[in-house]
Parts: sequence; C-alpha cells; structure tokens
Amino acid sequence: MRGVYTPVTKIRRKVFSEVARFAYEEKDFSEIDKIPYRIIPGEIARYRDSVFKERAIVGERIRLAMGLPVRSADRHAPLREGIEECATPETYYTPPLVNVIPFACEACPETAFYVTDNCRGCLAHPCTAVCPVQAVSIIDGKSAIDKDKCVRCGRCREACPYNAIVHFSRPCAKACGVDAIESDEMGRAKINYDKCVSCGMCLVNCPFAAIADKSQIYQLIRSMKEGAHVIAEIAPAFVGQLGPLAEPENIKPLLKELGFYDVYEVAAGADIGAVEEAKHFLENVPDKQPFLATSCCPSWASMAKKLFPDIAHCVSEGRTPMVVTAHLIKEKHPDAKVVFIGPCAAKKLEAMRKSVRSEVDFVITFEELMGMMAAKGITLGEDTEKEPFTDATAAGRGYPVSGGVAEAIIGAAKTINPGITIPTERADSLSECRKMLTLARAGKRNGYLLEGMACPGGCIGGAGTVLPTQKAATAIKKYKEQSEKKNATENPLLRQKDCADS
Amino acid sequence: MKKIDVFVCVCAECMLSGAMDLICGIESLKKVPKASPFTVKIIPTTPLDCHDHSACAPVIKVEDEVMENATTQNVMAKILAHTDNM
Repeated sequence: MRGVYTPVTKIRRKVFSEVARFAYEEKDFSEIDKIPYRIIPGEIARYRDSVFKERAIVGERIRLAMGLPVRSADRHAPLREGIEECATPETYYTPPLVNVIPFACEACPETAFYVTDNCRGCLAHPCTAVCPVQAVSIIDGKSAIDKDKCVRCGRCREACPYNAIVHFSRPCAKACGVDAIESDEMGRAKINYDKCVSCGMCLVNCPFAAIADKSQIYQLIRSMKEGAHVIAEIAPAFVGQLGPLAEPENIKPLLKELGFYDVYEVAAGADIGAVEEAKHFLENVPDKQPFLATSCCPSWASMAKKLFPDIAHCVSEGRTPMVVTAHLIKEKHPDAKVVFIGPCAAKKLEAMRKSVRSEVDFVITFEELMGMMAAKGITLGEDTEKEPFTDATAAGRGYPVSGGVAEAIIGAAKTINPGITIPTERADSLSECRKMLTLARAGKRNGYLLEGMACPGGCIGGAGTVLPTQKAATAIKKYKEQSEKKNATENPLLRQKDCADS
Repeated sequence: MKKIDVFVCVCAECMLSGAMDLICGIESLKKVPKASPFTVKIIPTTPLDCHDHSACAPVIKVEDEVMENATTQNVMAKILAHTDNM
C-alpha cells in the first residue's frame, strides 16, 4: 500500500495541515470542533458506514496531532477536552507515541488461510494430503479448512496447483517486525507497548486509518509565534521530500520563510557519528566485543535491547546524528530551540529520553512539515533563493539509504587504518534485523559491522516521508555525487571538535 | 514517437495531496502496451493554473486540459484517452 496515495494518506495529511493552520491563525479553541467538518464535508459517508463516525475518527486523529491522548468511544467529551493544557510552546505529549483509535479499527481477523473461488475441487486435491492436522477436507466438491484444527503452516497453500488458498494477515501486524500488535476483547488491534519500538510501520500500513502517532506541530508553531529562535536540523533524507523542484540549496530559504531562525544539515552529525563509530570499532572489535551494531536508528537499537539483551552491549552507544547536530547547534545558540525534521516516527520518542531532552526540543516529520508549508501557503517559486548546505560530506548524506551508514563508517575506518577489511551485513525492516541479530547471537557474525534500519529501504522508507522510496534513493545518490567532500573524516567540524577536545 | 506533455503542480498543497504519487502513476504507464508508442513527458511545475490549491489539489494539466482534484486513476485514463486521439 505504501507508495500509493490513498484516502488514508489524504486524511492523515489533511489533519496535519489543518492543525498547523489552527496554530498559525491562533483561533479560539472552540474552533477546533469545526476541523472534522472541513476534512469530512457533506452529509454522505465516503469511507465508512456513517459520516458521524468518519468525523469522530478524524477528531481523534486531530487530538493526537495536537499531542493529546486518544479516547475510546465510551467517553462523552468534546473534541477540545484538554486543549488548554496542550496549547503550550513546549513539548507536550507523553508516551505512548503510536496509538490505535479503537473505534476506527475494523477488527481484521488474525492470521488465517482461506479457500477462494479459484478452487476447482480437483481430483488430486493435494491440499488435503499435505495437511499435518487433517484440517483440510473436501466439502460439496470444494476444499474447506477447519479453522479450529488449522495450525497455519501454509502447506495447503503451497500444494494447491490453482493458487486457490490464500494467506490472510492483518496489515498492521504483518508490518510490525516485533510482534507488538495484539487484540483486545473485541478483536481490535491493540499495541503491546512492552514490545513496540515506535517505528510507525503499523500506522502507514493500516488500510482503515485506525492508527496514528502524536505530533508536536501545534506546540512548535506556538513556540515560533511566541518569538523563540527555533533552529531546524533537517535529516539527510530531506532530499526531494519537498518536491522535485526543491533542490537542496532551496531548503534553507524555504524553511527560513516558514519561520525557522536557521537550518542545519543533520548529515554533519552523521559524519561525526560515523567517525566515532569507526574508532569504536577499530578499538573494540573483536577483542572487547564480538561485533558492532550501528546506533542511528532508534527503533532498531531499541528492538536489539528489548529482544536481545545478552548482546545489547554490542549496539553502539555513540550519539545519533540528530543528537550530535543538536549539540553543535546548542553550543552556538544556547538560547535557541532545536527541532529535528526527519522521516521518522521513532525519533519523537528518542527526543524524549532524559539524555536527549535538553538537546532536541521538538521532532516533526517531513509530512508534518509539508502540512505546515501548505497551511502557511509557502511553496517553491522562481524567486526562491539558494543557500547551499556546506557542513557535510557525501558519507553523512548517504546515511538514510540502507547500506549508507555502514559505508560511511567503513570509509572512515579505512582512512584511519588503511588496508583494514571490515565484514558487514545490513538489514532493513525489523523482521530482517531480528534474523541478523539471531545469527549474531549464535556467533555467526563475529568481527562484523552490522547496520540495522527499521524501515524498508532505510530512513527514506520512514513513516513520515512524502516521496516514494525509490525516488528518494535516486535523489540522495545524486546529492552525494555533488558533494565536494566524500569521506566523513574530511568534515571540517571534526577538526574543530578535536581542537575543542584537546 | 508522439509526445504528450503532462504538467504536474508540485506546490505544497499538491505535494501534500499526492503529486509525487501521481508522477509515479504516470511513469508506470510506460509498461502499458497502449501507451508505449508515446512519450509521456512529465513537467513538474509550480504554481500551475495560478490560484489557491487548498480545495482542489492536486492539480495537473494533460496537454491543454487542467484537471483538479486529480487522482492517479483518472489521470492515467485521461492520458490513455489522448493516445486514442493521436
């Protein structure tokens, strides 16, 4: 479903632009009640059985976008309940970040195998012969599966010569690489937050728009409107996200027009992080630890710590590019507020950690940024100025594409220790990351550098992106090629940092 | 080879309303046999048909015909209809 613009995408993005508009126009709080009517106009339901239900669901999405908690259908309360508390220029929301709106969930059945009309009731009917629990039989000339007996091994599906047996799974659960989607007593999706790592894949894969994450766009806009110097640090996945005409050198002027005091490239922090991790690898692997796993993806690092605690010490403790860059900004501008703009839902949670909270004040996604731009009517024009980024190398700029982090670290390691060969493996999507760590735990990846990314394709496949993944990869490749400096060790900020350290 | 010009607005409203997905949909026409003898030239532009796009995004122009609230399916159908007339 990703990469296709659907009514689910439309509703999600409309909510962002309407909440941003609400913040910019500083309307009376009661005006929030009108937003669902603008997003779902008219009297006829288009997406569900009732227009009232459609608006109620949009209402909960608006509340989440304001940073407010989701409510169940048995709460009689106006949409604006709690809005006074969240109308602040500071970070407001609290975990959980990703939420199921219970009454929006269609309670899709959990994993099952179904016989479709393709079944010809063939003479061979191998589906019955391969079933280990005698769950498949022929009834009225067609194959039938006894759901109570079925153990969901899938052998019947593999054996059918007509592809008549299909595997059905909940899209949210299928997208979740840590098996965090469970069911409530009504069969609706429920997130197990002990397992969830907030990657956001469930929210972009639910075809009923029943899952959404909390946002900080309202509080961020309030902060800018109240005169704070808000400095944007933009993740390296930004290339192409604001449209095919928005070249990297247009981004700074566009964001400044939106109200940001200044704009920094997180790829600079990625360069510094790559060199730190290269040094860590050279000093510690394999003598002090069997392998090194990268740290920049918070969902992957969190998953490794939750599911593989015995090897969690092998995940780098290095600061992520977001934190490194924010630290650089705060050193220069101690009174400024820093907002990370990126493709990632999980960064919102990372920014709430005690150690990060003082560096990063807000986190928004590219989708939310586009909502702000649409609300303010800012768009790229012929007169948009150009102000290129100059702080990062091609290595740091390649971080958001799967394989890019390992490439940057190895490039740095080879500069420090020429001639060294570092075996690497990479995985994108949490299910692949789990497989990779299972092998590592078994001792099959000793001496390796392991790169893990929770989102398919890397950060460019993140839940908050606007651009299809393949197009984003192409745009980043072009930007890397245009970069004057190639290796992370060439970043001039490193020399400044070394001088400061000594 | 005959050419069809398709202008796609990529202003903030249109981007938010799926302009990039429209472009991907148009590009996918290369694999449709009926469209393969034609070159569909995609021209990202902003602003297109200059007015507020908040109520009509995404906006697209196939040859001289402006389409508001465009969807991938109706744009692909429009382009294929053009191939019939050429």
